[in-house]
Amino acid sequence: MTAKIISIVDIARPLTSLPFILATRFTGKRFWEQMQTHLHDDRVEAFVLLSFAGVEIMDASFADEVFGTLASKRGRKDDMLCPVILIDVNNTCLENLRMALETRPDREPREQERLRNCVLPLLKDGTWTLIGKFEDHVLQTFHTLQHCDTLTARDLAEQLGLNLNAASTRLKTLADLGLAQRIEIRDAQGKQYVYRMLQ
Amino acid sequence: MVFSFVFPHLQSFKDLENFYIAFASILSEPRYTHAEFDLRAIAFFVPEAIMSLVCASNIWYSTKGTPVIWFIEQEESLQYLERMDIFSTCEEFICPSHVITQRWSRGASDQLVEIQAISPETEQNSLDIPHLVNTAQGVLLGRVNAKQLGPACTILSEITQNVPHSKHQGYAFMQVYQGQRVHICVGDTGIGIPATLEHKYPDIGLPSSYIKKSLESGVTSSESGRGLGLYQVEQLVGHGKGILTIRSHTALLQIRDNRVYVIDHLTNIPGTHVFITLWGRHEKTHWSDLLPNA
Repeated sequence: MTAKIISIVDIARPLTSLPFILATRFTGKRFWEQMQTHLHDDRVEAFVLLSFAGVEIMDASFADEVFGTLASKRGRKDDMLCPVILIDVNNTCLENLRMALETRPDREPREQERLRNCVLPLLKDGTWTLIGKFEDHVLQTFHTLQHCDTLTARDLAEQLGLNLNAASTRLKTLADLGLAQRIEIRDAQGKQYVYRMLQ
Repeated sequence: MVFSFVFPHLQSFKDLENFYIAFASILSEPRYTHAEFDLRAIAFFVPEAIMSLVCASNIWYSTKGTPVIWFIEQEESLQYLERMDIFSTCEEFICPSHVITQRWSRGASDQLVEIQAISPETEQNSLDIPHLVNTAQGVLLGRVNAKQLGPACTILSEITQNVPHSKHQGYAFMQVYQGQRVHICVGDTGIGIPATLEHKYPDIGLPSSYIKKSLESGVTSSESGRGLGLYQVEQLVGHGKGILTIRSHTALLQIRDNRVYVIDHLTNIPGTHVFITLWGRHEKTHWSDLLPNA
């Protein structure tokens, strides 16, 4: 399936006369409202490549308002938006994005359940990186998935020495966080889920 | 009646504090309706001095309704302040003593971002800042390396978007000195950090404690915000082995070499001033005189 590529600069263009400089929480709020409309896709295998091409500066407040909110909602299974992969991110944007995502769980309202994973995937020069704060098993499972075409819970359990339930939970968590695709397969053995990288 | 504030020198925070003591006293005296800043002995204006004098002039104008006259004799100083756009951006509340007959070329000032007014209104503020950052980028390009340019722009953006919390007009400028040293100054004449935070964080203690609190991750005066900007600023200044100085209400806080220095019980001057030095230190002046040595 060919992913949709969405340009951050194009989303920002109606909001600011300098769409290559993404600054302030105020603009971030308005940007988030716009970006959401691009991320609604009911197809199971749908995902979006969010391109930062042309973005020269993104400050931490903007990053937090947009991507911190996206990752937080993902982490709480609080959204119906399709997964995103960040591409073409320069170092300045990356540093501020990292700051926003890594500190987000500590800055969420205390009355909410603590956010265990606040993470987005980044693809740069063919290499995947997870940006943000996440549990160790998320990274371990993600790396395992990277080396397979597809993975079932049984495959993961065998590879990592886990029980089936634990493996199944890990893979579902990955999909819920928008880090993997979850595909339902029906065969002679019944229904099962197969997981693969976003591609 | 006119009061003349004479500046024999302006080389340290101590000099500024001596001025503020006199300024606060005269400001509350109804018989003084006009003020002059006698800056004829000042050969060199550091960024901290400029921002402090601009904000003081604004406060005078807001209180008394008359602009402050800046007496400057040295042509180099006048030229420098003119290149900084002080007299045009601040024309409502600052008058130079001499009529400026020659507008010095902006081409000679490509190492600085001229002083700009920063709106306290949130939406306008969000429109002002990208333009300020864009100008700053242009000045920094070729003067600092790629790893420095982003952090400097981020710092400028994050500090200036706090001006709306002050509920008053703010001002900002940036300068690049030789050897990649960068100075960023942002000031306002508003309610100050303690007043901004105390409704949400009562019982923090001294004003310096409120300034320190404002730098923590997650601290914000707004109900919906998540308080990241100033925390990020502190991190970036630290990575740049820089100095972060914040004066607000009656307190001054400075962070340098991974240490925090605070002073309380200073003269109460409206507003907040943020001074940042990155990748270098002041050469000729003593801007840590008020504070203990490391």
